[in-house]
Amino acid sequence: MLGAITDFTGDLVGRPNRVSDWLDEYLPAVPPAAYLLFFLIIPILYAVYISFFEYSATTIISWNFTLEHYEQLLFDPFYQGLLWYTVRLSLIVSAFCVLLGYPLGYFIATTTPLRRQLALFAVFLPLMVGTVVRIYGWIVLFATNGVINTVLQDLLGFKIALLGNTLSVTIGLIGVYLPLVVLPVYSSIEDIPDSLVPAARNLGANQLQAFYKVTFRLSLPGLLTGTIFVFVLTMNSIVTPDLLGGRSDLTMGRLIYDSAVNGLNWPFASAVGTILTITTTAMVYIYFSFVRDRMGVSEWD
Amino acid sequence: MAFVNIQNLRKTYGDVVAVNDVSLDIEEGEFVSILGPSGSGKTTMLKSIAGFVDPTAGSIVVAGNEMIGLPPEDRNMGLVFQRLALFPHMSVFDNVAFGLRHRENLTEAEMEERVAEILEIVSLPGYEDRNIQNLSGGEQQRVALARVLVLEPDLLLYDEPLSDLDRQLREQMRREIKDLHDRLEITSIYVTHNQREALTLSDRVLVLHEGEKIRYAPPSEIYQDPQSKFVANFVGDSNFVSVTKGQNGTVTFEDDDISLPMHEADADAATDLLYIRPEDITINPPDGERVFSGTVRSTVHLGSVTEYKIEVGGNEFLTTDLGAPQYTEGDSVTVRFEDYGLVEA
Repeated sequence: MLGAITDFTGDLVGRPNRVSDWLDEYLPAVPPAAYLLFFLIIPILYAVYISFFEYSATTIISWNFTLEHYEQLLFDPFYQGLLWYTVRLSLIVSAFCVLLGYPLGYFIATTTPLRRQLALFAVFLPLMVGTVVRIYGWIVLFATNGVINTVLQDLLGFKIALLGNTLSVTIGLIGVYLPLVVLPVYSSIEDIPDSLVPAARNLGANQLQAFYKVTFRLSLPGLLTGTIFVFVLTMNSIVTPDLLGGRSDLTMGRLIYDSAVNGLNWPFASAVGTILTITTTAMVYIYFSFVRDRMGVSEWD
Repeated sequence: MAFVNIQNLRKTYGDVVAVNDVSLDIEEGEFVSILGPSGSGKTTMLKSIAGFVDPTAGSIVVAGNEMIGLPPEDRNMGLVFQRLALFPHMSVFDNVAFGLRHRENLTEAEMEERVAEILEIVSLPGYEDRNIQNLSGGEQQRVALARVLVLEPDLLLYDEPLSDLDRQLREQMRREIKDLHDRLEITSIYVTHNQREALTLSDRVLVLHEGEKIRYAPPSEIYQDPQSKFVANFVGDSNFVSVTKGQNGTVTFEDDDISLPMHEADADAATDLLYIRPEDITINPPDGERVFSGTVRSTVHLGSVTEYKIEVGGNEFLTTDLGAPQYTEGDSVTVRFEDYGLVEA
């Protein structure tokens, strides 16, 4: 708007007004860019910066350059195992979210309107309830002295460990993040024109080939978005592994939380965060390139 | 047996009869239109032929083979969709080669040759690497044609492919489809609600109404001898007047003392409904027989023609005249009914 007015006056004067053109183009982007700069980019750079300094029990950071945090994280078997645990957990949770979420998204996109509404409601409902509330609900049911174990004890005389292990963490994370795959998959399948699969069939593709070459291929952007959401969030998960897992279910996120909040070791926590961010970005990039090159998805370039 | 032989095709959805015992013969190389308003069952018929709808009863034989029970991919038919249904994630080449990859065992070089050949035929030479989204409406239309033509199908099916286009492009594509058919002579079925497309493209037209076969005849025959009120009204416009048949070979308008000599062909018709085409009414003819006086009620200028509504006796008649309006509302004129006939109500 500003630009429209200044363009006009600029024409009157007979020369283009460069500053106003620039403002017209970039002004709307200034507030979000400022927000990102102050609340994301500067804090991250600062965190990376302090990860190269020593920890001091009295001043938290003592300004002596060191690589000891990275040495410890990359070469100590305990921390290696912790990174591997986090990556493995994220891969397993993402894989199961795809296996369960894709068919569900496909069903919702192709079923009758009434069933679609019911299914969408069922998918949305957990998102309305906060993760912590939901997990406490599970704990009430599955804990050692929870509802299920009390009934088992009374009827059969034994209890089973339903919580505090990697399986409960995995199942819990799948439950929490499943909608993040279902919704983008549903939306991308719904966008595919109805006539494309019949067209493929008419051209000689059988049901399976038509699904793979048309429906699956055109829903890949949605599937990719969903899996990246799930993978990134699981890599950074703290609450679910903390509440549902045992002492050995330590993720990188929990390590950051413990080091920074309980141990006040900010330099070490920053180093963990840096490694976690680099690992996550690298794995997302590998996944993205794989899907793009193998599936011939050129519209993402 | 005819090249395409459809016997007593019937499709019901619960209590609704979409297609009611329709039979149809199509000779090899013929271009047949299925014409009807929406809900007439024409699309259901086409989908049954293509294999996307299971008919309740009946048989569909193409080139000597029964089609009922075969999945769509095993029927050698090309279907051109209303919204074209091109694959947006593929290049022009991959769209056109899609069927070749599934239907035929060709080397990459043979495939390239076949695609290039067919793109030449639809006047898109060298378009192989283009992206579908960057093509104009007309170019997309031609890719959709190329995609099915490259397979040399037994039968080409069109599902209202021109209905989404603007008028100019529609006319152009209509001529191109006609031209392609004249060159390639692939037996074709063209579904449309547009009587102009049906009349200009087809060797024969099947008129459907509420799932029933009303007429199946060459376009000129349907236009000149509609036989029923529905066809007279749907294929071109018509004026209708209730008449009584006189003993002396005349028909007399009900409520009016206007009498016209009856055509010999209508002598035995058991009906009392007369139809008159708008173009068969002459305004202010030079003196002669069967001239009646009337009053102009409305005038609409449509460009190359002008449409008048003229009241004659107790009836209003729609008529068209070439050129700009010459009469205005309230003018007294005379009219002559040049041609007319009796139809079933």
